[in-house]
Amino acid sequence: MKFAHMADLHLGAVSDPKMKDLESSTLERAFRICEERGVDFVIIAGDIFHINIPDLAVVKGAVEVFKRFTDTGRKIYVVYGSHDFSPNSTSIIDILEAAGVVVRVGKPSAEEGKLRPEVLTDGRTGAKITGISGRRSSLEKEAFADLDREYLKQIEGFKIFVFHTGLLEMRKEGEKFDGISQSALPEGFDYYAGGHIHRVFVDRSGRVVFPGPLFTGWGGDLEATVLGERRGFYIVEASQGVKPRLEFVELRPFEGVHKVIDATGKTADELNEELRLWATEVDAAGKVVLLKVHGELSSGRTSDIEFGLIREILAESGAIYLHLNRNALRTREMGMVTAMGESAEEIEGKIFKEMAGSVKGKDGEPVVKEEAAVAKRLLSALRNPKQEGESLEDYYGRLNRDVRSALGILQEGAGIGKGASDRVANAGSDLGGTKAFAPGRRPQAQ
Amino acid sequence: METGMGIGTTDYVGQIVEGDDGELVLREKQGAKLELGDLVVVDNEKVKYICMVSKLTYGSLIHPDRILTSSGSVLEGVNPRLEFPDKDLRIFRQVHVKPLLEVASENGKQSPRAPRSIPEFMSKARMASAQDFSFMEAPKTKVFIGNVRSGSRTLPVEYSMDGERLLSHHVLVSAQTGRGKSNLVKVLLWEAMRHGKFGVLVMDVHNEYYGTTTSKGLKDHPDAARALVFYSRNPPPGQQLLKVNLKSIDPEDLMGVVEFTTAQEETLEQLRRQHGADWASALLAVNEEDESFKKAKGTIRALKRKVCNIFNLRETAAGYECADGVFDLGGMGEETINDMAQALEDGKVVLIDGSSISDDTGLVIASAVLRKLFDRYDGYKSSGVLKEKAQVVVVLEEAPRLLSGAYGDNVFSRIAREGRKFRIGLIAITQLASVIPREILANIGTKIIMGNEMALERRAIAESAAQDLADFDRIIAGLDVGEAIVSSIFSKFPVPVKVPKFEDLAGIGRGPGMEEARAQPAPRKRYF
Repeated sequence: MKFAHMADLHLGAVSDPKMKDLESSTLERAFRICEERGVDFVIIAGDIFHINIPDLAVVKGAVEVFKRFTDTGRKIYVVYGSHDFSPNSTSIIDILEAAGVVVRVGKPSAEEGKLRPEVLTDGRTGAKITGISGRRSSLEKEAFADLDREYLKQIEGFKIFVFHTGLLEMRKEGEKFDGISQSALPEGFDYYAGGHIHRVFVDRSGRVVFPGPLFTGWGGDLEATVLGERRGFYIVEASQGVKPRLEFVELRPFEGVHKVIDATGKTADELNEELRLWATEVDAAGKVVLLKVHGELSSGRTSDIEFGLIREILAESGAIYLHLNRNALRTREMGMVTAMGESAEEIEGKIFKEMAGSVKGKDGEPVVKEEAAVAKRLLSALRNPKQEGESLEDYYGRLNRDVRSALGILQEGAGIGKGASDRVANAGSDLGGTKAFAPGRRPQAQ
Repeated sequence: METGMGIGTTDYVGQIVEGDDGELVLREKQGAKLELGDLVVVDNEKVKYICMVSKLTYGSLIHPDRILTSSGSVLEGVNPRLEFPDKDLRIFRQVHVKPLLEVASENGKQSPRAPRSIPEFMSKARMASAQDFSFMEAPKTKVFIGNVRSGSRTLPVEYSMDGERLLSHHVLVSAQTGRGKSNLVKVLLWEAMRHGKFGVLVMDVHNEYYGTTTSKGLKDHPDAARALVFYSRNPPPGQQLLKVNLKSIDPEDLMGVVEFTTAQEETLEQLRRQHGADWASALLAVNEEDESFKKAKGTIRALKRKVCNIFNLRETAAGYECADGVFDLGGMGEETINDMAQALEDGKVVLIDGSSISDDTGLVIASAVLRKLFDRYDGYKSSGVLKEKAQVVVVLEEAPRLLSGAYGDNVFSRIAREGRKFRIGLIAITQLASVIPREILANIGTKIIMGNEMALERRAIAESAAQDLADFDRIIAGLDVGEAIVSSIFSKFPVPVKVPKFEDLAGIGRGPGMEEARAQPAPRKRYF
């Protein structure tokens, strides 16, 4: 048998029209290759879409590609990924499955407190396919812990386990992600089709495989692609008991240009000149350009830098897209806070301490007492996501209570702490009319 | 039985008839049958003395000639029924007791201290009871060690130590094989997990602490999910695969664990300088015939051999690979050492199954983790936040070789010397305390002494104990399985304890909320 293993398509993640075109053409190319190479089925190990209900134009494009493939009598087996899954609302994956475009594997049932994911048999090859879907924040770890391993062990045939979870053992030094140990995977499968980790990885046995994404249009992934990280999918030739033969199909979704400019000690004018010169001379035609500008300007403000002009020059020279990273660009005129620490909590704590006292009310006094501690509590309260099974109303109510508690404001009607409440309310007006969080107002998603 | 200061109708077991501040001698009441190690109490006005039986001898008021003649008459059948008149008054046993503690009573408050006086002459003694130890206060972070023991009798008095103090000032467990040291370590680990604020690194050489499907272990702790991480070559589902990237191991982690010549050490240092974390790969890739290495051909060869042995590497057509899969020369396991260090910092027990790797390999992994931790804690110390971090302790079995520095300084001897400043402690387990340098022994705050038949070892441990254990030699020799004497700088007296069987402890569960936790029905789960 021959099958394709893809993962992390993240369709709909990009907003730039040219990048959108690249994204859909890459998907089309991948499936065309699958057809040409005569694969029996395709596995997509999660995150087909970037969100659970994506833009319908994106869905339409994907369905056209998938349908063309499945119309030939072949199947596309999928699991939810951490992005296209929702515990409370329907995912686009469910709609595609209902329409017969994809088949979701590993639908759960519980037997004697153990999880038994549904095992499907591929009609063309007889391959037994099951798996565990991904969820946000790696919550699927619990499913791995509860897996009925004996039940899965007894299933005979060529077996494939599909999952959307990172393996802790595959982390690079300094790389932080939550996941499972390889020991959590059920034993005895011929192939483990992984997703969620955005790079190619094959373990020593040659059976645990992560193909990484097909296409990457944003952030660190885009940078990795520009810098030469392989992007594509695997075509696997396999039969029971024999080590699968893996072939990585590299798609090279785009050519890239990577430029890093250190602005340290330069004036805004000098930096503008350097950027203009570079943008004029660089061969960016048909390429994705990743420009990273960092450092501290000796004079001028960051808003003086003519990034708009650079974008125009590059567009005129035929660049597909400019990804600009100027997060680390500073000027001496900005009070920069640097904090080092071993953990996010430690860094946050240090920053809060550093910034404490920088926001004052009309009376020139700090808005709240013990700002660093309050800020820490507030952040902790706001970080707490909506729980499974919790209604929106309950969630907002809880959030309201937690935020009030963090700020030392009691619920309306309660007398104690009114002073603090007034101070915060006043501070709201000082800060341009920011209102206290109220039920029914949805906080901005991260 | 009366337990107050007054003397009433108490069941006395003896009366002080001679002695000094080092040892009191009691005439034993007929039938009292005191044993070595028994605790007796002498009540005086406003003060009581808790003493331990250290020696038993005979006493008689009959002339030795008459005794021998009588014995002859009985044995030779001359007068088989011969008995001395007033036998109970004239023949007795003398009980030598060591005063352990003086407990003064003032306004209902009891204040224990090391004995500074001796009881009144002819004071009577009684067996110790639970109430005699009511001065013992439950420490803040309670680590239960066992019940106070009087000889072979266990009293209903729990002996716990403050975890912070106990673990920061190092612990030595001295015991011969079969005296219950593994059980004791399991009990200590179980207790540490209860608090969730002590990071404990354990290289479990026999894989006996985690537990199996048929035997209880740390996995059965109610807080295991939060407080225990288990690494093994063959872990149970959900636990961690022991996979360490060679890049995480520094040549420093090998020093003091494996023996190197000076030339080999210099070569390792050179490789580290030139290749950083890739030193091992670089060493394995060295062509000994290369001109620049020709002079050091022998050294390189020997180093390669040692490195291959430690990491169980073998050469294949595709290059070197680790035969048992624990070490990786590719992209796996780069974060394992960091994860272990982080887990310790988070106050978890990090248990490494050392049963399927060599002792040296296990020590190298432990060294790497502790090096990482030292780096982190050093940073916290500089930034003044160290005291907010978890107290960490490493359990080191067969400690003498490492602590004696046989192969030079290593991270373990560093912990023994200066770990306390960094909140990193040591639980050293050995049957050969005499091999551990005296200055290190003296640095260990708590000694848990279990049975040991070797006089040299008993002497070594007694000489370094926090209290004077000179008269305890026979008691230590006679300690049964699970019996121990705890001598600590945090205790006013050497405490005889009976360590509970781990299975009993794990069966009962200790600590607030544990029973309630068991009674809770499992939450209904939703899978997707």
